Amino acid sequence: MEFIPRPKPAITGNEAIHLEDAYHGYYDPSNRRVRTVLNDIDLIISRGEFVSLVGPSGCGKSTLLKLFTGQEMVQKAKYFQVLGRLPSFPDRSRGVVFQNYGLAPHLTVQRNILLGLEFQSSMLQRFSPSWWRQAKDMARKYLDDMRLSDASNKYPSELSGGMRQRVAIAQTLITIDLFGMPDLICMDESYGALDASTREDLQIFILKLWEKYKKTVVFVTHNLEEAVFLGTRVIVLSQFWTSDLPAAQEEGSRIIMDIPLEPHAMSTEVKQTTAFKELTKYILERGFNPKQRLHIAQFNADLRHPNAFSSLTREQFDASQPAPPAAAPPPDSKPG
Amino acid sequence: MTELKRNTPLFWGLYARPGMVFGRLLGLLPVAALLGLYMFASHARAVKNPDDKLMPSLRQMYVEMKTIITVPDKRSGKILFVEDTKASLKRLALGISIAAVASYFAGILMGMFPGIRALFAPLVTGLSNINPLAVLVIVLVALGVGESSKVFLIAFGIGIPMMRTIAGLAERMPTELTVKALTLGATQFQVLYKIIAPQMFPRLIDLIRVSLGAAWIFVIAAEAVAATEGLGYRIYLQQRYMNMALIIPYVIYISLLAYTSDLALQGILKLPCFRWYSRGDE
Repeated sequence: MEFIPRPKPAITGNEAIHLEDAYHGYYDPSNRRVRTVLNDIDLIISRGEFVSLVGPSGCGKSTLLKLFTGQEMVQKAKYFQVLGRLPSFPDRSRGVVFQNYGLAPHLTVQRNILLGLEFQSSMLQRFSPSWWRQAKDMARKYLDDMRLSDASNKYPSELSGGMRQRVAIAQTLITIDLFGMPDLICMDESYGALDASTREDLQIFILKLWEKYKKTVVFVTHNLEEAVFLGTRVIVLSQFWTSDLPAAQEEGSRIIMDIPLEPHAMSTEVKQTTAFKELTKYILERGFNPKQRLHIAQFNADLRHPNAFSSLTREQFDASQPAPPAAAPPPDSKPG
Repeated sequence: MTELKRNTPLFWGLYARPGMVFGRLLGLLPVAALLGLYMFASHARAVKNPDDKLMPSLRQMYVEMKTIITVPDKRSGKILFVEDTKASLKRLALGISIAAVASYFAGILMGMFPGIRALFAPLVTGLSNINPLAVLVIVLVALGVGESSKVFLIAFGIGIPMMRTIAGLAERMPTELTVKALTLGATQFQVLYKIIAPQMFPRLIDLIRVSLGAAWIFVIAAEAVAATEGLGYRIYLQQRYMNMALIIPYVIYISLLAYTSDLALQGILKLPCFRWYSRGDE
């Protein structure tokens, strides 16, 4: 096996996310120590990318997303910037779409969609009836686009899962149109609770939106097919790997694959092609199998995306390779 | 085609269906039985001793109530029944209002802001373990025998547990809601008054319903100790004369008032604007 160096790409200032040598963990009360969840994560995501983040359950992909939204702060990292600054608590620069929708249950669909507008307008405007009329006209456009017109005055609990998720997406969409924010959209298993056909519907839907707005999307999912179908790049985070490191340092997940994908096909038929099936099978075998763990020295071969990088050195690579067959012993020096 | 039917029991069994009319009649049965038993016992005692005061007949109760409702009091010239009702309801309403407003705002702040929780939670926990009736004497000494001591007793007695409950409910609100609102551009206080507070309001109403029973206990107890009018005062006054013919209807009247106030609060939650709450949010 050949050593493939993966040096850090040149920083252009066009990075949405830049994370280097990051470690993150949680206190584990049953063992009375901190359990590492993310182990030495190196990640650069350019603006406008659609990144699928996939991995076996429990690998910490949602944790990684929480670092981006600001729900949690990375515990140790050499470098960490999101949209050009160290991320603070959640704010309007980074949008989020949750699996359980996160809709306000006490507001109708219309009012839910207008939440972003309401939050970001002045007190004076919110007291003016004409402002509300304009806002409701605006909401109507989004309701029509989202095929939610009939649900306008319903409460979230009266909607199906697919409809609720469309409302949640519309909430973010209206703020993009009005304020140009958020620039980064984090989707945390957003389609995890939906049935197969609704899921495909919304997959096409989010792709169309991405084509239109070209915002950075990080899409966390445990569904490999979905990840490969949606992304321009699929990143596999997995706890199933091995190394020559001491066991204590072998805990937690690493990015073990980072694969650029073909430009988007707007049809779910691509899922039936051989190339698509082979790629998902390849990822499944290498990234999701607890019995056949990849060695960290082997990661570089699968870190194929131009933005992917790792700190593996040639020495470390050579050291991990099986020793070459022992050379013939040097001829004995003849006795004088 | 024939209509298919199966034999559904009317009363007994897991699949019994008593139906509307028969079901209501069934519910009346134990009440009627108890009433009959009382009338029988009351009659039996009256036969033995015509001056019996312990179990007055329905007729005696009617006469007593009619007097207090229609005949003005000799000294004040007012209808005592109306004065009693007004006094007790005023204390109750004032005490519950203070408790509701205070627990709503303080509870939401404590539930949402960890700093404020850390500051006040130990105090509130300590206060909630104090038996309000045990400190009644202290309250009377400190605030006097006027209205303020009775209102304080109710507000303190139900307000502190309500505050704890609201704080707990607010704390357990899904964090997704907060994060989502913040990413949509909300300020911290917008999260409070647009997302959290409106959702806590119907929960507050439910909490008042639960606390009503305790509030009635406190108002009757306070009136028993120190008052010049009120439903509780009247009961304890009549106790001196063993006037059961007035006490028993008064107890029933208090129960009816409690039942009506509960229905009124339930009515608030049935308003269309709380449809999302009564439906339950999955």
